[in-house]
Parts: sequence; structure tokens; C-alpha cells
Amino acid sequence: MSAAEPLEPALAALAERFSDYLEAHMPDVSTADVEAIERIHGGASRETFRVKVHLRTDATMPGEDRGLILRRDPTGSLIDTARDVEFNAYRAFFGSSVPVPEALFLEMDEKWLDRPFFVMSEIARGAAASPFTENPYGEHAAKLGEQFWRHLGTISATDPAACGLTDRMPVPALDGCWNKELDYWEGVIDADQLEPHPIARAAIRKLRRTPPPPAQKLSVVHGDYRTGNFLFDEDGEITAVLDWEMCHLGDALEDLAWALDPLWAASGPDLPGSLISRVEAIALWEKTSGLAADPAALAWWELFAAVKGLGIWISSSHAYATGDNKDPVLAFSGLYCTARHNEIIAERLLKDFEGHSNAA
Amino acid sequence: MRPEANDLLMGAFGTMLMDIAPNLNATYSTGSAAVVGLLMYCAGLEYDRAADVRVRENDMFRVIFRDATGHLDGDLQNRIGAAGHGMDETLTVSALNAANDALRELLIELHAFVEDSTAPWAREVEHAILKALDRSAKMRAIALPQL
Repeated sequence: MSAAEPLEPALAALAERFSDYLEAHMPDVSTADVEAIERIHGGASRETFRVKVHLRTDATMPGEDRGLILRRDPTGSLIDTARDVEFNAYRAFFGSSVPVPEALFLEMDEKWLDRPFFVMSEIARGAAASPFTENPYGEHAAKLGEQFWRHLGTISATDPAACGLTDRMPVPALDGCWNKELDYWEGVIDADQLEPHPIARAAIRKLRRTPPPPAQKLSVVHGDYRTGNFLFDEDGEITAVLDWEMCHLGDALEDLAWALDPLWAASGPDLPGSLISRVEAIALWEKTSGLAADPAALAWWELFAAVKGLGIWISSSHAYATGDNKDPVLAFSGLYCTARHNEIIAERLLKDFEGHSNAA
Repeated sequence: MRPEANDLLMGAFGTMLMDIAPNLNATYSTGSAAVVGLLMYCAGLEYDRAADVRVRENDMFRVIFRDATGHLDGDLQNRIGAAGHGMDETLTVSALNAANDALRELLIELHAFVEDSTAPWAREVEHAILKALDRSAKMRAIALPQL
């Protein structure tokens, strides 16, 4: 480890051990000096660190600086997923038209940093915006919106077998995609609820009574594709699509519905992600993905998206309340996002009921 | 107590967000301090309305139970009937939460029951439940401050 810049005491030991790891796993590198390391908010599901290392192949020659992102398993998490899911997803899309960081190392052996982790390259340009801020993209909203929905269409169009993900993830039947996901998230709510949730339960029963049609094709589902999970630069270019930890194979409408969810639309529900209009967004996605957003099927997946959201927020409340993870982001998600998704679902259930009654 | 707890929390929220968070050196600490500030805001909001929301919700659910009881029978009728005639005698948030949890469990059961029934009265009860859930969600909504 370099003595050039002092590190925060709490991070010094981690930096030392990470340096040892890099030197042991980069055959061409003789020294890997960690010159800076800081924890950043990269999602409450993994501890995320931004690391600057100086790599030398020859101790007598000048080396090169490299920016890395270290994602380490926490002791408790917002989203309970296998750490290799995100790593494999980055590998699958690196080099495609969907910008993602290069995944470098996946380490399961706890001897190095106490818990499993993976390492990826740092994206040099760009920042994320909060989904809960009105008009977070300003003059770049239209430009970013076009890219945002086009990238999602590209992900939906990608052949999971061709990008190697069918060998690494469960492959559901086309008519079983919805059931697999609903079973999973209902199970999360069952396991983690701190109080009864009549709105979630009503939505789950409705989803089971009125299943959607089978998926049009097997797709890669990002799992958390939304405002806040991409980086963009000052020119309005998306520089990275991040947070693939819930990536799985299934129905592409799941991602579309999640991205359209009103929770991410602080500027209004007709402006999903605070980017471009809902109508434009769906048209762009259909054009790029080659898939149809059937209104009835999409409505099912939109209700599901809110239930999935409740699953995540209920789980985060549980982790915070039980002391598994005291990250304040978990408490905030448990409070604000639960309240918002309950509101979204309750309004939808009442509207559907009254619409059906009036039609009858 | 003056200032009240909600005033204290709202004041602390402002201090945390405007004075403390921007002056922290570490990126992660800055973000965490800002979120802790938002938690103070949420807690301040909840302090003022917590009892009111729960009492109103419990009353709303009990009215639904009283209206539905006559259409039910057996064990469900007994439990729904008893719950419909309950009342909140202790107004601490913990006591109200305990009552609210019990009422919510019963509401889930009644809701599922009427969904499976084709009787016209069941549609009326179902409609009443959905309106109550919508009102409950709106009462518990959190409007974030625009910063």
C-alpha cells in the first residue's frame, strides 16, 4: 500500500488486504498500491468502495493508475441475491451497446476480505440522480430518456443463450415466468413482514386470479432497471447501466413495468423516470426490443412491480429492525417506499374494481 | 412539551441536511447523514399524526366488520363481530398498533372471503374494504420535502 496519501483509519486494513488480493490475482503486476479508498452509496445490498490503485509491472518503472469498484457482501442486505448474479450480468453485457463496467474478479473465498466480493472497473464519467427528486435531469431529460428506454429495449431483445446467461441462471418456461417471480416475492413478504399487509395481500390474490399471458420470448430481465440506477455525464450521455444484482431470465415486461413504476416518477406518473412521456417510452421500448407491450399484460406486470417493490421495502424494514443491517437507507426505504407503493396499489385496486363494476 | 418532538425532529432534519452533511469529508458519511436527516423528517411527520391515523383506521375497519357480520356465519362471524364492537381505550401508539395489526389480519381474511363470494352483499363489502385501504394508504403517505 502506498504511503503517499493517508487513508481513513477504518479503511486502511481493507486497503492493505485488497492490495494483497490484487497482487496475487494479477499475474503481470508486481505491486498494486491502493492510493485511495472510500466507501460510496452503491446500493444498500452490497458494501461498495471506490478504489484508486497504482499498478506496476516492474518495480523500477513508472506504473499506471486504475480506478476500481469493490462490491463486498454485507452482513444483511436490501436485496438477498447471490453475488455472482451481478458479476455474470456485467460479463454478459460488457462490450455490447448497453454500457456497463468491466467485471474483473469474483471472489468467493472469505480469507481475502472476510466476505465474498467482486471487483469491476470504475466508470470514469457520470453520476446517478435520485429517483425522488423532481426534474433530476433538467435539459437532458429527453436525450437521456431516449437512451434509457432504448437500452432497456436492447436488454429485452438480447438472446440469453447467446450472451451465456442460460448456463448461469435458472431458465423458466415462458408460461411460468410470472408465477416464479410472484412466488418469490410473496415468500419474501411472508418471511419478513413486521406487520400485516392487507394491500399487498389483496394485490397478490388479484395477480393470481388474473395471470398474464406467457412471455413472448425468454428475456434477460435486469431486475432493477430504473431512474437512479444509471450514470450520466454532463453532455446527457448514459455512461453505465448499473445494479444488476436482481438480474434473472424471464418476461421482458417485468423490466418495462418496473421502469414505468410511479415510485420512480417524481415529476408525475405520465413521465416515468422523470424522462420522457409514458407513450414515447413504451413505443421506444417496443421498437428496440421487437416485443409488444400488450396493455393487459403490461397492467399485470405493473401491479406485480408494486408488489415486488413492497417485497423489497418490507425486507429492508426487517433487516433494519432486527439489526441485521443498520444502514439508514434501509430504514428510509422501509418507511417511504412502502408507504408510496401501498398508495399506488390501493389506488389501482380501487380503480380496477370501480371500473369493472361500472362496466358490468 | 414545547417545542414538541415533531418540531425538534424537523429542526434537526434541517440542521443535518444543511449544516452537517455538506461539511463531512467522506462521501459515504455525507450520504448517510442526509438520509438520517430524512428519517428525522419522517419521524417528525409520524409523531404528530401516528395516533390519529391509527384511531381512524381502526374505526374504519370496525365499521366494515359491523356491516359485514350479518352476512357471515360460524367462526368468522364470531370473530368479525367481536372485532367490530371493539374500541381503542389506550391511545399509546404501541397499543394502537397492536389493535391495528389484529384488525388488519381480520380484514385480510374477510377480504379474501368476500372475493370468493358471488353474493351482491359481498361486492358491497369488497368495495368498502378497497375504499378503506385506499384511504389508509393516503393517510399514511409521506410527502417528501423538495430540496
